[in-house]
Amino acid sequence: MKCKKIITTAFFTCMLMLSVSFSGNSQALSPRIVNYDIKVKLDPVEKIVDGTMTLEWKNPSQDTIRELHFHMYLNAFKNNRSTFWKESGGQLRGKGVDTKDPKTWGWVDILSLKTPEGNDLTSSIQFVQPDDDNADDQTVASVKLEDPVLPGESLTLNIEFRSKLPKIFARSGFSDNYFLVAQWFPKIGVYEPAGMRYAEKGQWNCHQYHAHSEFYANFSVYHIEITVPENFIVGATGKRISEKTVENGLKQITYLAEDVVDFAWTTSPRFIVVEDKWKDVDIKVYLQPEHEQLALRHTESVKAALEYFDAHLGPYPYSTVSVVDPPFRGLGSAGMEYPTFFTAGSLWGIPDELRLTEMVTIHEFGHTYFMGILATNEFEEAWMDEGMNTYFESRIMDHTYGKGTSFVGFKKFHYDDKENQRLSYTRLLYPKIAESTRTSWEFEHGGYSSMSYNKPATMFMTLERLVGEETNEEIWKTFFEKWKFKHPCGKDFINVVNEVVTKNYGTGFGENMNWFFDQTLSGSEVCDYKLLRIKNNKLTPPKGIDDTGGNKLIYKKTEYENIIYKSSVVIHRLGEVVMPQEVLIHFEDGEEVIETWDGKSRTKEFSYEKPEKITWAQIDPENKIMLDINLQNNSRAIKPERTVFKKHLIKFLFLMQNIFQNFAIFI
Amino acid sequence: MTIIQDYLSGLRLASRSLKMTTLIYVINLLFALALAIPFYGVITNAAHGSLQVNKLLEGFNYTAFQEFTDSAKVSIGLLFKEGIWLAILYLLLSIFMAGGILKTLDNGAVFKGKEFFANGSKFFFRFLRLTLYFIIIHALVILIIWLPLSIIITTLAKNAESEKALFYAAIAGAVLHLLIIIYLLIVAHYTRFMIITEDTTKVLKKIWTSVKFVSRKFFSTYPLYLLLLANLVLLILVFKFLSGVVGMTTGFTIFIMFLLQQIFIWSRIWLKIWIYGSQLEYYITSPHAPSC
Repeated sequence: MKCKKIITTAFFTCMLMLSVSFSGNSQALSPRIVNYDIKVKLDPVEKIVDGTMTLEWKNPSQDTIRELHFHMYLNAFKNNRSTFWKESGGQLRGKGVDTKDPKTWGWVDILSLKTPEGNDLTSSIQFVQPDDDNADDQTVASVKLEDPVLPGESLTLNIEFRSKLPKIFARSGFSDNYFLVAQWFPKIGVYEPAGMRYAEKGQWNCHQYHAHSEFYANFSVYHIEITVPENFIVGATGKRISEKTVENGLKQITYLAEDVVDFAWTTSPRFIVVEDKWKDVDIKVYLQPEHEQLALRHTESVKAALEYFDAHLGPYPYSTVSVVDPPFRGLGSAGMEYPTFFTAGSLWGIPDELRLTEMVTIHEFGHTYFMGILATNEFEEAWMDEGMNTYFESRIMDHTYGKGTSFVGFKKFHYDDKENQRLSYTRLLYPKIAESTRTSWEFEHGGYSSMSYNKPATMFMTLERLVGEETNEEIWKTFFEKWKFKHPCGKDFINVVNEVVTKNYGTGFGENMNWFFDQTLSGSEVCDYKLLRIKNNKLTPPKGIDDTGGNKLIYKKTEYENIIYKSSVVIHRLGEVVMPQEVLIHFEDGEEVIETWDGKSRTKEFSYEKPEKITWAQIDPENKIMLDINLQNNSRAIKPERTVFKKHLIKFLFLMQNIFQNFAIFI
Repeated sequence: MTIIQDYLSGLRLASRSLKMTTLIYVINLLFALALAIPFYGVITNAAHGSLQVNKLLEGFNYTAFQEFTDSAKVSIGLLFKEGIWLAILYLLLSIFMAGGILKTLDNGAVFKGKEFFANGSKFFFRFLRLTLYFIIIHALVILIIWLPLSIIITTLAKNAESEKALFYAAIAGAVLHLLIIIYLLIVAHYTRFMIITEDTTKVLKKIWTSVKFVSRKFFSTYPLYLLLLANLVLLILVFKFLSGVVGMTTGFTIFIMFLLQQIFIWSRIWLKIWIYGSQLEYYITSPHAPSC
């Protein structure tokens, strides 16, 4: 197994080096498995995209490949029989659709598929369903090859396709003359050689399109020529190479995107384009005219994210960032990421204190690092993209807009992004709903967003506070540097954590950190410690028979010179998750004691005999264990401060008086 | 008489009604205390002596607030149900007191406890019927405004290029609704004056007479009410300013805020009497057709 891995690694390295000359102009950052050369024309009336594509695919394995798998994502919108439609019920991202309107539906057809030699493989196309038994699902196509592709060899195919864009209700499609063209062409799946991620033998990793799943794709080079009406403004992944006017009021724009896992584009005649720059990166925001006043909120948050990622994860390797601001009726496409290009989301008149625009912009930009550069498999390990990115989003939000106010910043009502993420998980009616490691289509009843976004983000916050900021920083930088452009999986991240933590702390956290991830990532149990009781009992002098002197005598009635208290603090572990704990105990003379506890037993008691009573105690005083689902029960005081209750008493009284008086207004 | 003269006459009547104001204030306070005292018990118990709750003293803390309300939500839910019954009871009591207030003002604001309650009792069922009629009328107004408006908003949501149009449609609806509510409140007030001054039991008929009266004198009755409402707006602004200055972070400032809040409530009630006084003065002094 080990030998096989070494061979695989050596093979990949060679491929990486060879790929410099395989495609594209600049030095390759990634293996560049595929080269897409697509010419495409949009019919804005019929909402149809006609394309011709030359695909050059490199066999990255030592296997002989006789069959190719393609994603045909748009077929998810073909009818209500698709797996996507069944899972989503035709409603996702808050938008339902009119099923009677023929324009609602979307599909993609391969019109012809030929080798350069003229061998027509169109008839060999078959739809396959690797994830479920839904024979009606047409989101993955298999193509049988007449001539197999040998290890390390390349294959070229000429494909003609037609894509009908759906009315937007989930990510891609159209709304009037706004188009967000994503998952729009037949896209080859990822062939995972043995040893890559979890593959034990070479296999196609090409999942069906599911309601909650996002994507996984090869690092590629895209050379895309887009033809649209002259008055349409176009934005896309990568760099704009040229633009020219052609006959019949049309124009052609060419884009080049290298070392990316996807290509998406947008067009609309209504866009206002706002440009800015961060170092050598060109930032473009494609805004709705009514949102022009929000331009700065977009550009500033992109710059904040670029700055933060550059300092805390790694440099941004591309030269462009494009932000698309969808129209009100196209919000089904909002908040979606593609490499160097993403959709944000904003509403006219949204107050500055409500930082939804900033949060979405920073979040979607962040994906470029996780689903884009690291290129994790979002179908199978959504937590690696959404969870990691959500964690970084909150770090950037809090860093940029302030702790306690970064998400909502009104004077009397405010909270930060970290609080929002933690509480979105801890306040779930059923926080044990699922493990975060499920494939994205296995989550049910709202579990996907909680377990892929908020719980992993809270888990990363806990990890950060447990191991300390410096070690945490080292973990993320090491992980990024080691795995960028290489499709890491969950165990690769955990291995990096183990490596760095062991290097910095030895066995301070145990043999490794698997105990942490086994409970919080692969497990669904919750963490909840409760400070149950504080007791202060005065020690009484001994009574009864005293035989210490050899004779049995009755203890004489005496008193201690000073009053001594036998004090104790009792803690209960209510959840199944075990975390190391610190407990701060405060005595009435101001003395404070910090106790440490492995957190394993169901109950724990700390006892003292002192002339002073314990006045209060607190578990986890530095709030390291953000996963604890109830922080309120972490502390207790013998005589709680009443001022806060009095404050809320009179506030409540005043509220009630006003409500009653408001009733009387109608009299 | 001009609007200003009626406005000032109302002030004179209100300034002679301090006892009546205080009586209503005490009743209001007792009702609120009936909820606030158990609320205090609920919050102190729900906190379980936690130190986290102290974060709500200095200002707002989202985590502390959410976790605290989670632990108190069952008890607060029960309190809320109790609050609904108390609100209904307070509404009935307000209907009861309206007879006493208006008759007192009609008699030159000479407050006599016995007469106050006797008049409250005398006009209670007439004013109760009036309130029910206005609830029905208001429900119809809601239907008339919001049914077509919801169709417009739905159509805009399907067709408009921008959400701006939706926002304006909703604002237009809300403003229209508010203007109509004010009109209905004015009509209700003058209906009460007619019932009181004419001692009639024909409530429905008086509503119609009041509609005609208010509509005929729209440019007096409406601005007068708006002018009186401006007092309330001013009071709210002054209170907001003072509460911003004082804050509520120590025992002393909490006590000061308590005093300010109670002065605010007392003033609200007093302003209500001022409104009644001015409108009643206008009604009595304006040439109007007797009940017909």
